[in-house]
Amino acid sequence: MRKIRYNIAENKRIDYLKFGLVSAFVLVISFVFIMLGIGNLWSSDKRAQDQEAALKKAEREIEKLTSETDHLKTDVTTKKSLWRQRVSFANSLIKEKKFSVIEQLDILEKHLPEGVFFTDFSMNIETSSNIQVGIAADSLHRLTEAYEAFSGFRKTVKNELEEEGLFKASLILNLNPGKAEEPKVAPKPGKRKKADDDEELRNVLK
Amino acid sequence: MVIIDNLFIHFKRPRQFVFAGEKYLDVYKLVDKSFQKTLTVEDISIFNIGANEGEGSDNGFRDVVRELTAHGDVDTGVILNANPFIYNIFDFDRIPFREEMQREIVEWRLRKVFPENIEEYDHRFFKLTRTRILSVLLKKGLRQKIEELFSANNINLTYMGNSTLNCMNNIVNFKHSPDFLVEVDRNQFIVIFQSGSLPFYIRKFRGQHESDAAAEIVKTINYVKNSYAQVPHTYSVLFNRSDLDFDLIRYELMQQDVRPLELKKKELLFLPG
Repeated sequence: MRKIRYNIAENKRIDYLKFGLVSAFVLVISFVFIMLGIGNLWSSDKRAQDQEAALKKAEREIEKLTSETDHLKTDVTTKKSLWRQRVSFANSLIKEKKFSVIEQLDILEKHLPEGVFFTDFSMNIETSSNIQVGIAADSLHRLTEAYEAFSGFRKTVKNELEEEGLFKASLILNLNPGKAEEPKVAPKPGKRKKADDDEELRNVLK
Repeated sequence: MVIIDNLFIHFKRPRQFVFAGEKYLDVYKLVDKSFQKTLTVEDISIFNIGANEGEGSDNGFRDVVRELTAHGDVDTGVILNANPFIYNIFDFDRIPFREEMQREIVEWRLRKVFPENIEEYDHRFFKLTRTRILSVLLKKGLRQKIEELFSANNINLTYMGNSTLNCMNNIVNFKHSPDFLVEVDRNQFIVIFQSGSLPFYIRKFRGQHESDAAAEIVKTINYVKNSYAQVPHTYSVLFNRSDLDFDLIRYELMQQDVRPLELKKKELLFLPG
């Protein structure tokens, strides 16, 4: 129970010392609370500033990561597109069978004049489009005819010899169909030249 | 406003007091940091001084004045016993915050139980809890008479209080407080029932004989048991002065299973703390 203050005298004497002490106490408490409030506000402000800085840093990180992601996405898109192009080109090559070795050999065989036959051949299609063939003819005239027949293949006569009544020669022929004359087989319309395809293939496969 | 007053405004306690009892005056003075009784004047009533009650009263009061002014102009207080006061405790559902409203509802309740004109009384009330108010009335004329008496004798009266309220105040901080207090001044009894140092019922009566007083106290205990659902177990008696043999009263209370509880410094509990 709070104490009952009962004093009905007219001339009460105020205790100024107590009043002063209570007032001073209240002032001190108020001052302490105000200071605590200010301190709290200041620390809150500082905390808010720190949090803002951290937020900005995080935003920068996010921006950087977003940019990197975009870059990677672009890269992936580019590579995907390139790869699709390559696959598409490879598929078109497969579909069109542009560089059929058998077909090339067939063309060569068709150029052979009568009385001339192949003795051997070797090729490395990966390194060049040249082929080395050995031919044998029953006469020099026939051999000359064969030389003429292969003139469209940028031929190079490597060596010639006569052996056991046969005139033999080793030739290097270029199978590039664009350069070769194909008197009997006309090139297909829209067909691309091998050199162009090779060039494109090289570019694509780089 | 009351809260600010209670916090900031404190009044100096006088260094000497006059206790106005039942036809006697006691003078207490501060000696060595404690109050001691320095004079007693019998057969004198503070309200009858100078009212043609005979020279005895006036002469007695002159002794009191002499004692009070022995050390010059010293702040003096008067403590009246319970006799001239009227106490009421009111319970409300809710007490309004504003003091004016509080006064209105207290006076409204007071008019229901108090037939006289309240305007003639100095009416003070005190909020005991959120729902309980103690109302104290004293005739304005009596108060005025005391003021004039001291003023006429050039005594600086800075305190006028009540022994019952001081007793209640002083036992608030006691570790063990009784379930009811009995303040006795000759044949004037006041019984204050409290719960946790919080008064909830006050009754004043006169007991000419021990048996009358015992019967009244027992009757009051039973009333409290029935009306407030409180069963008192302990009591303390504060004597200002008693002409009665209290042993019989103690015995009667013992029969009611109510035991005495001794309080520290109970002789000076009527002084303001």
